[in-house]
Amino acid sequence: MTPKDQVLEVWGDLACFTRPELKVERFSYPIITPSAARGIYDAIYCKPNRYGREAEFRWQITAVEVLPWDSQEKPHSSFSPSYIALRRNEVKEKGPSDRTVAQWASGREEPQPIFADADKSFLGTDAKGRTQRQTMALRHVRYRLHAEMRPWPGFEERQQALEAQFRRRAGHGKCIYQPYFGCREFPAYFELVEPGAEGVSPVDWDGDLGWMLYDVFDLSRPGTWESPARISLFDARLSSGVLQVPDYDSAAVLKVEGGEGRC
Amino acid sequence: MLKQLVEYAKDHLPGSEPGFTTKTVKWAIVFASSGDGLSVVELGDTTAKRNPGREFTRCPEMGFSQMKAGGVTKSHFLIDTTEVVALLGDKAQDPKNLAKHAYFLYLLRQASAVLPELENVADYLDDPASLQQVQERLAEQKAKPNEKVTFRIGGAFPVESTAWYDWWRSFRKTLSGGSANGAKRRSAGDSSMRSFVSGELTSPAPTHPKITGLADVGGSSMGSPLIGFDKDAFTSYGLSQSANCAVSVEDATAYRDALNDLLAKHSERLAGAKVAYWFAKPVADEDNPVQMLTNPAENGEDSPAAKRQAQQQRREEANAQHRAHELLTAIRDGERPDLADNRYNALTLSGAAGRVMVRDWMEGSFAELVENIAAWFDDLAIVHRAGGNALAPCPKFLAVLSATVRELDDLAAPMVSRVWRSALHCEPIPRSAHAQALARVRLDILNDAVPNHARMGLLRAYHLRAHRSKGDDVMAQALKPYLNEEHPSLAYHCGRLMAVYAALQHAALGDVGAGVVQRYYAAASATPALVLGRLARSSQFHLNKLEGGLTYWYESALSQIWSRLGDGAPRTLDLEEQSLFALGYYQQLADLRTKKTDDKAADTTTNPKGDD
Repeated sequence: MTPKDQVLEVWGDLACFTRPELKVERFSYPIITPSAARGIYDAIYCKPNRYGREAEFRWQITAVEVLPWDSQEKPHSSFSPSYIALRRNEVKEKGPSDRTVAQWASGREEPQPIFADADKSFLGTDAKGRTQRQTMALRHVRYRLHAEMRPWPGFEERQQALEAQFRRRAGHGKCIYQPYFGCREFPAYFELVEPGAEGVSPVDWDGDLGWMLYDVFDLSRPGTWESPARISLFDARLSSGVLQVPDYDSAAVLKVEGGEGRC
Repeated sequence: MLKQLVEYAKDHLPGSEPGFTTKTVKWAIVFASSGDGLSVVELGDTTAKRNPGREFTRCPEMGFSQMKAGGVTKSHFLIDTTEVVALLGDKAQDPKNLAKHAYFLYLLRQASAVLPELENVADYLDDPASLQQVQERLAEQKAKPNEKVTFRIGGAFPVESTAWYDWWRSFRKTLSGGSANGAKRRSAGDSSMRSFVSGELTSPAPTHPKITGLADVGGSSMGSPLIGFDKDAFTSYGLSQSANCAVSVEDATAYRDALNDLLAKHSERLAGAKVAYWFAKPVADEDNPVQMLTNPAENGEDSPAAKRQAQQQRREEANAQHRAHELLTAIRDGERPDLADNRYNALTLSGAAGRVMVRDWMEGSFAELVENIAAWFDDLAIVHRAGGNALAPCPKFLAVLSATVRELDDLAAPMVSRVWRSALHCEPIPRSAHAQALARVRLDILNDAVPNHARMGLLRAYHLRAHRSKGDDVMAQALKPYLNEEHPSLAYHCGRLMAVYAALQHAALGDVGAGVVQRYYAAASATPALVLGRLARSSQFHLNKLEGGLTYWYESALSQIWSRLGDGAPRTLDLEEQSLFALGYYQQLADLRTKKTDDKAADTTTNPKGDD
């Protein structure tokens, strides 16, 4: 019988769970968001479908435990996350869509390169070229994530098999792509935690983090790759280093009705 | 963060509302109640060397989206630049400026429905002859085209009247088709989103108002938005502009007003960053722990030795460390229930290319803040360089920062925010700050400069906090403000030896120019085994030159320290050991001065060279 609670210990040198209000000069939430945690589980095992019709399940994050980076290190009077300031030159434009690239490849449109090191005098506009942006990233993060698999209607009887497959993959360190902490350049390393295993205690941290991003997509139904954003929030409170994450369907998660799902 | 700022605005800024803001105005065109223009007067403190003008707290404001709406060139209402209002300056006759001037008069005429006297003002400014008079009077007083101007009619400022408020509210709505943010919201494709401030369903403001007060830390003098998404790469998921972070127009105005107020009244500039801080409940200045940190009591560092004792007494009564401990005790003993359940918020900001950069955000209980600041001063405490049993005065926070660099301009803003966090959260001192301070200490010593208390204190605080975080209380307790002859570190005793050899050379030969410190300190602090042996040999020549009693004293002092080294001095010292070497050197130096002073007071014959 596979356990329902799938626990992963994840860690990494850097992380940036960008606050939406401070996403230009990026500033990270002090703790991983449920959507970033869901992304880590998805990176290890997911069964999506381009059109959402055959998507098999979604992950529901239930809790996040904040662990000390160095268990030998003596905590300060109260824990506070460690930040690091990074500055990088970045482009102001977005990469082209698949459709645009296809048009370029077929010769129907002239390719428009992104000039990574140009300024207004060269491009004639201030909206292109490069700009220097700051990232206030978290340093030395370690979490114990708890999640449950939620099969979509029609796949309920496969839950045991799906959970077993996840545990096999996570136990062998397999992943579809490298999990990451908020940004792809900050890799997350993971280890499956077996039931009953003794682990490090969470840090001593109590706090009200205010309204935190829960997820960008509607998790109530399978979606497609082109589902629009439906941002949901929840009141994040840490107690003894543990963030309890409410179920997406609960009233504690503030949503906008009428969205489309995410497979 | 946004939530706390909006709460601050609700508690402290009752006038915060979209369409209204605080403006500083330099000039006023004075009219009689009949509408005739009389003169131009300068507002504010006219005797000040740099007079920014007079502050009006509730002025009409037109946001960026309103200014751009409809493709019509617009100007502000009641207050604008002299270039727009009076067509002053070389560029006044540009078509765009003339259009702004015309719109300014249009607004005055529209508002005359509720403030009839504005009709006369508009007529007056519309008349070329009277406008020329205004221009001449402004020019006489050396007004500049970019300075703001308003009106005073019959002794009262229309901008201070409440009569135009309702008209202005309804007029603003007409600028964007019935909703302050309707046009952009439609383009965003979202009729309603969850607010990141309140969690309620809201129509997101398309653009956010600008934060002022960061011009001296890299921001634009015109203000910069805290939340802004004006480039493609700044947006995600197909969301347009500030729909990427839904905040209502009201909340956007509230957090802007709160931040502007905090930056103007409750902030500290720390090199390349500004810290705005506030408390959930009001705190008196004398109880404000942040002020203790940034502006501790008088120092009197360079006082003559004879007055030191009396000054120390006064310092004890007033210094920040003492006050912080006193406040902490009062909170713990329940004598200050008003502060016990208070909380603090601190936001570190700087400007970057027209945007606001948040460098840190901290919040916590007031008692914890006081405790951490008391711990900061305790950890920085170091013996006074002049010796005696006096501690150096508590350094200002800026002095601690400047201890890491040659000039304050060399300070990087990330370093500022990291050291600030160390102080407020009782966190370890950053390694980079330690390395930089050590380099400056070495230069001070080699250049025979006066040792800097903040630098030495920072080195001590670094070791204390690093050891505590590793759970090594023995090492943390061993590093006292004064000399500790029992210290377990060999590097510390090597530093002590260096100080005694230097004192011995001075006692034997007097001032020799480049002494053992200038010649050997750098090498001894990195490779003591190589250098201290040579110094031990040359010290024999110095000892031979001294009189009997003094020779005996130095010999016993040296042998006592050498005995601490056991098998000998270490071959090499890493960076952390080098700073222990520096601390040992400094504390031994201060101790030698203490002993000389005491000896001199007791019996001058035993220490004939006992000057500082």
